[in-house]
Amino acid sequence: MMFKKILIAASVAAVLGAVPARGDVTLLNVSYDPTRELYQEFNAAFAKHWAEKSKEKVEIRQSHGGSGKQARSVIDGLEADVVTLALANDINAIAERAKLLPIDWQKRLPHNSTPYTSTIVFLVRKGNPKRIGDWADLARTGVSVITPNPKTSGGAQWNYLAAWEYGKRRYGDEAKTKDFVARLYRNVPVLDSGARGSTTTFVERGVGDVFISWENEAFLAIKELGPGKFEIVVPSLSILAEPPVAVVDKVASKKGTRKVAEAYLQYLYSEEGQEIAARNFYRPTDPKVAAKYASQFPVINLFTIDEAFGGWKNAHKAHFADGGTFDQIYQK
Amino acid sequence: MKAFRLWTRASVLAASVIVVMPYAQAQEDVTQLKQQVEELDQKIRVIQRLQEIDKEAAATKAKETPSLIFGNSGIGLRSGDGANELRLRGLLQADSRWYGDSQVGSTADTFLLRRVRPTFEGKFAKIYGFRITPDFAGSATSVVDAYVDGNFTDPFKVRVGRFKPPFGLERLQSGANLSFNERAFPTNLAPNRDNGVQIFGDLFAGTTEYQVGVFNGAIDNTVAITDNNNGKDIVARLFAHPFKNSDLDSLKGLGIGVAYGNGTQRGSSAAGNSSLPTFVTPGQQTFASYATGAFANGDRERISPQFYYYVGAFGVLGEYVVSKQDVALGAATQEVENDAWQVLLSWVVSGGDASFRGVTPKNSFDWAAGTWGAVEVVARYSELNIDDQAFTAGLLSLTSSASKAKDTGVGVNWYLNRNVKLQLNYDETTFEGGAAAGADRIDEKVLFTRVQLAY
Repeated sequence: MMFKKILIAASVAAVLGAVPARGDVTLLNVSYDPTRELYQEFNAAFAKHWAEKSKEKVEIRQSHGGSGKQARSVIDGLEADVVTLALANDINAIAERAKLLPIDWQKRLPHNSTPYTSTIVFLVRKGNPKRIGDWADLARTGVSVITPNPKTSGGAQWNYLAAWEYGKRRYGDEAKTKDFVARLYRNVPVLDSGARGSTTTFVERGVGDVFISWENEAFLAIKELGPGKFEIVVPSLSILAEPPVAVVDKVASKKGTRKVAEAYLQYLYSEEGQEIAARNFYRPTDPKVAAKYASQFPVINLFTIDEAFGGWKNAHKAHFADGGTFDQIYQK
Repeated sequence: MKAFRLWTRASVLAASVIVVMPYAQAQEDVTQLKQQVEELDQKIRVIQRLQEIDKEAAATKAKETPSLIFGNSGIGLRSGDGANELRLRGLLQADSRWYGDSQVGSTADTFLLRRVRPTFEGKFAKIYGFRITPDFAGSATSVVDAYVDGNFTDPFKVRVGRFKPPFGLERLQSGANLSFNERAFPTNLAPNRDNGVQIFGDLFAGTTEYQVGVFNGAIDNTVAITDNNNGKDIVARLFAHPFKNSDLDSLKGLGIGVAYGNGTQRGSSAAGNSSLPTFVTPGQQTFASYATGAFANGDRERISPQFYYYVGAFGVLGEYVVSKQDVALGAATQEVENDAWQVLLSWVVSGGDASFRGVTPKNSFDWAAGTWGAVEVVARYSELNIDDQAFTAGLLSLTSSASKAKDTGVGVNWYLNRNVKLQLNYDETTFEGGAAAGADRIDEKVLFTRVQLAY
């Protein structure tokens, strides 16, 4: 019997004394198309910060695609710990349809959960051969315009709304505005599903005369993809794009990653996070960092989605929902 | 003179017109041609880009399209996102047993189908899984496993239905991955299959697995189809791989744990309702059984420390089982405490690494290519001790039941590929008691062969 007791005691001791190796924490950040470079740099910085702060190793995986498409993937079960999408409306859809986070998610972080902003500019070929100067030029006959599909791309929705507001202010009534936007989209030969695809179309495949682009994507194209080949044209009016971020509560709670996921997003507001955003051509919200990088960003007459359209829900319903103005003007 | 000058000027003007007009026309033509070329170039680029986008869309759609599974792990269908899956697997074991001069009673050399088990399994919505395994090898078809899983998180999963209770280590090893044709003596004291519900999962970054379940309560080495009493068994097991995530590669294959079961089992003195086990040799011959009229009458408790260790080609597996049961005969009830243990060594001589989940050969047997699959040699020692007090109390008789059995086995297993295995085992078992006048039962010497197909 002594033998048995020793065996049993040894087994229990071995089991209870098993040293659980401290597991790595893995986060999945589901983001939109042009943020690849931003989050590559930011993830490395946060992993270092988190290791120093909590002695825990964190690995952040990234997923990129058109913002609307990414939101649908999360709704369909892609287990994102955090989402950093192009539109608040895409995160609203995750909250409303999949109920993975509360409806008032945007109140949880500063600046309506928008750690950085951007805007929409034009990227043209060197020398601006088609003499593109403003939105009106994009609707001219013979100008080929590259922009992604507003049905799948958040960036494309910002583009569309910027063009619409320009048309409204220039032409006055809705019918003329609609006609202007329709003429512009008749000049679009290729509708990619996301902004990065459109960058490929314009920059790498040489299609089109002008690319309606995120400001950061335009700067990046000039810096990395085609130095000396492209120019940025700043329109007379553009939209203040506010890409928001949020923890996907139910996924983070289930995976036990909530604490690190929250810290990850909060770190976007830190000085280092803001510096990284600015270095990747996103406009920082921190006044100190914004002042430091002010010369990098052109001064543009900007309007907000709330001012012009009464918020994302209204804008989406009027323009991008099935049967909205985009469906009416764009017949492929 | 004036007329001459006029004539001269007119001539120069005419000559200029004659020369310049075709040049300007040519320039205009070139510009137009250039524009046309640029327009054509753009059209071609647009077409090419549209084709690229179509290909990307087709590739994305392909990922969302259900795919056919056809490989070493069965055949089936999987949804494009991998969330749903149906799979058909199978296990066929064609054995033979040769007893030589150790035949006792009706023992006969025989060919037999040991397991004929198709398995239908699948998952739905990533989380919910199922498995149904009938067995056609016996005289009657039986349902071996049939359960539904809810795999909610790694640390928390639920299983409901019929399956192996989390107790005996070798019993928990799949029948396709056994080193010997038949399991060793500790399995005589562990439940086989039972109906119930179990919570299980992995803790501490996968270093520790646990299972806790409530079951009808199977008699040692049997399957409980239904219960004959209200007492249910609680079975729990904790098994750790303490070095799984460490840098100590040589210790990563160490697993150690303990299993515990407790419940109530009651039978009656009526024939066929004793609710007591019989004990069998590796040759599947009964060498001990309770006296007629004895029956289970109260608490049952089992405990089993267990371990395995696999490093490279070498493996060792050990377990110890104690099974206690209150047994009545007439008006008296006696607690009977039986125990068993085994140590099993395996060494993959060539072509693969040893593991609890069997040997995966690095290459398949191919005569022309000169590859031979994997070859493993195995050896084990195993004992089963029946409580002496059970004999004293008359619950068993030494003239028909051995009080102790010791088995020594050796074998060689040839893994032709991931699906086909040939086995050749030899087991020799000695006994204390079990024959007329309490003499020792004749030693059992059995040569086993097996041809196994598993997919």
